[in-house]
Amino acid sequence: MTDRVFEGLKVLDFCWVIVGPMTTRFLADHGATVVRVESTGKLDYLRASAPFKDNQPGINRSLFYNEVNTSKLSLGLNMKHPAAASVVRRLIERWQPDLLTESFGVGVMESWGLDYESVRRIRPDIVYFSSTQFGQTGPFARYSGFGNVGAAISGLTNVTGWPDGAPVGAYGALPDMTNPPLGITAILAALDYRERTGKGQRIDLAQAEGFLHYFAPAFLDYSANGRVVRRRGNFDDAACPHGVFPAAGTERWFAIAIQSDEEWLALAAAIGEEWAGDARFATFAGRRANEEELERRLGEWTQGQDAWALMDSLQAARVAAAVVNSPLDLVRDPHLLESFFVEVEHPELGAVLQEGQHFNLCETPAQMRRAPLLGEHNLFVLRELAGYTEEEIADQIAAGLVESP
Amino acid sequence: MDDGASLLQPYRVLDLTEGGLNFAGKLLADLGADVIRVEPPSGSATRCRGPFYHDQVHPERSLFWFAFNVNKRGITLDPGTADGAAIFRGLLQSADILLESCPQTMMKCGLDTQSLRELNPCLVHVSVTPFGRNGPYEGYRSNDLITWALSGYLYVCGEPRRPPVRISVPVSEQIAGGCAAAAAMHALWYRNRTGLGQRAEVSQLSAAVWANSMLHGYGVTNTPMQRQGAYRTQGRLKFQELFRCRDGYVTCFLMQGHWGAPFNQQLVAWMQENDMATAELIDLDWSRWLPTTMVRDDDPASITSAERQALMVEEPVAAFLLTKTKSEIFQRALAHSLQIGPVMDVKDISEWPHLKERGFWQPVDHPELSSRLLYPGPFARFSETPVTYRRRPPMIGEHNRELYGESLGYTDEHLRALREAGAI
Repeated sequence: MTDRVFEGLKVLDFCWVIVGPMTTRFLADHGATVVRVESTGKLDYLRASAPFKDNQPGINRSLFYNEVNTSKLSLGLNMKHPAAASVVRRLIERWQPDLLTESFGVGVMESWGLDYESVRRIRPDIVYFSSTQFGQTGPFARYSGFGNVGAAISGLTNVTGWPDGAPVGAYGALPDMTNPPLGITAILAALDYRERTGKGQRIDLAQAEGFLHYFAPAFLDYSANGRVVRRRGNFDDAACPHGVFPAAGTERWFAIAIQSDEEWLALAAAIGEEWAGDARFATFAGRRANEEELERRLGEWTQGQDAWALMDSLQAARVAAAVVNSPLDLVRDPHLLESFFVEVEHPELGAVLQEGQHFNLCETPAQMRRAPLLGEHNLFVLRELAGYTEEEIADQIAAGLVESP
Repeated sequence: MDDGASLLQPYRVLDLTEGGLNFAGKLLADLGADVIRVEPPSGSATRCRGPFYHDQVHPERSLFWFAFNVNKRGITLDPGTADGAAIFRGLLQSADILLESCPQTMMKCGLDTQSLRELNPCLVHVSVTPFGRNGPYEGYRSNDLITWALSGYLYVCGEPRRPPVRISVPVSEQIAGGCAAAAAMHALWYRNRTGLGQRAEVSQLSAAVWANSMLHGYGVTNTPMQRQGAYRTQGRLKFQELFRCRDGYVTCFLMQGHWGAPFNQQLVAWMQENDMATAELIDLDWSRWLPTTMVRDDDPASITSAERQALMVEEPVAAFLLTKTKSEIFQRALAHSLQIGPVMDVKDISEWPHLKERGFWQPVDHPELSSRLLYPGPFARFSETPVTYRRRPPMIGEHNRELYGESLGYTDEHLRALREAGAI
């Protein structure tokens, strides 16, 4: 018996930047052997992206790279070198990976002779996973946009902001972050099918399509009612008051979401001022009709108060209320420190606070190791998995084919 | 019998989650699992969520329910009654995966981890809660706004002079639902190798922190962040990211230096074709356009001159984009590799030829409404085993007879008695 979920599973990982590596991280943290092929000819630009530990740039210092590549092995291979593809083919022949993953633009793997049909000739039952922004087919297949483009075309940017103004866009690239759980679910279903039937297959995950599922009710609203959802600030159909209010301090905000009359009564009791007992506010319809006044009064009540103390007292009174954590608050949040973040030791960075797991398996928890340095596992991968001799490896390094750290 | 027709054909899933967490079971159902949505006898609370078909507020018209319950079967059951609890135990014995977001109901039925293991040692049990099972916020009240507030994400969404603003369409529950499906598949893999089921826990807050674009990295480096609205800050400068165009908005981030040069040159070439490129833009060496590197902390004048460098580019670009439509800009972006994308709304996306050509939108017939609705189609494309929509979302108790009768052997008479007793 083993205590690691994916013990024995072999993954050849060509994913780069965020979405792909975050998808294969699940496998690595839960015990699969994941070999990341990192093209030194065109470096994963996440390795060159801020923030860096201590704000000092360096190819092993990017916090984001280290976040999404935990527990993996790194092979630094110059994919621009004419012999690179033959090294990969040899690795596939000898090591026989179960899964190949990639997130390049359409046509890149093919240009190396490593597209699905070619790889299949070496490993017929491989599961071959491709993650792109727009998918492998269709008029925009070859368009590759960055995360901000992904957020804009997925409808996300348009529905973040105030009803009286222009879109302000949801921060960052949310669709980049929400696709990995879908990708890993697809991969594991295909691997399970392969266990039962012996058949591998190709998976085409289009980030633009994956994200639309999170918005699915809005698309049915369009299909059934012709309605196009608009920006609504912090308005909520079922909760009132529902918004973000100032608290004591600069840029200190506090969120309140009242989802029932009972919850309002609890809040009104906590406020303890005469206006809060106004009968107009006792029902949802009444609060909605007087929402502007209610929000103004609530803001006046919260603005001098300490946000953390207010969260404690309102939550104790069974009111849904919370501090609006800033990025700086996040790494000091007692709940997240206890239940989520983990400190990871890294030879160049020292101890770094990193995100833990998307979920916890109670009997076989993830066993997360730090992300690899560029090319850290060249020797292991080339000698033990691909079967090259040390002499051959020395030649590969001398030829600029393999980049040693 | 597994004829290999679908990815997860052999597996049965009991789904007792609510709200956007229903997305977890929907993903497994799309992959071919037999997902049974277990609702209270009066129907699930999720059926009260809008929007509604033709705006008719009715439990069989909730488009929210439709969206995340297509491909599932549906039964009613009150595990709080003695008969209901017995039936629930029977169902659990034949299930592979249990998805739930109702720890109180589980406790009330005496179904803690130990008793579930005795009942069915092979069962994968995925439990989703707002804050997980340990830490000071366990038991706190929450909703989409509260989750985003604590996740750090809300803080950075919005404009500098206004309060933080959430995404108008609540998505944080669905995000946890995606994680719950992934958790189920992890535990199922282990179960199939070892015969051992287990419990997996999903915290909606943890899932939202994972979705926040790794903001804690700025906490680690002690880098304060502000809401930036239509702009993106880089060091001491801010660069416009959202621009007005003729019929709406586009996102266009003018990256500096050699990363941005090829894209920016293409944009200027297009402006030149339209006689809208300024002389400075035409002559600019883009790989050396690096306003952020001009800033010296001890020299305020350097900031002014860096800002001028940024504006020299942004102003003519903004004027140019105003003359083009979203569609013109996107077509040009495709043909000439511009990093510009239209800010699409639901209509733009629904009518986007790219998704239509990929056959993304899938019609599902709703005979009770005499209607056919277009659903977002396969979340992933499989060469051997495509995702299909086999069933419209279930009506309240629709599969009681089928499941209780055929699978568990209850007679019609027995079912009637159970219904009268409020068990189903």
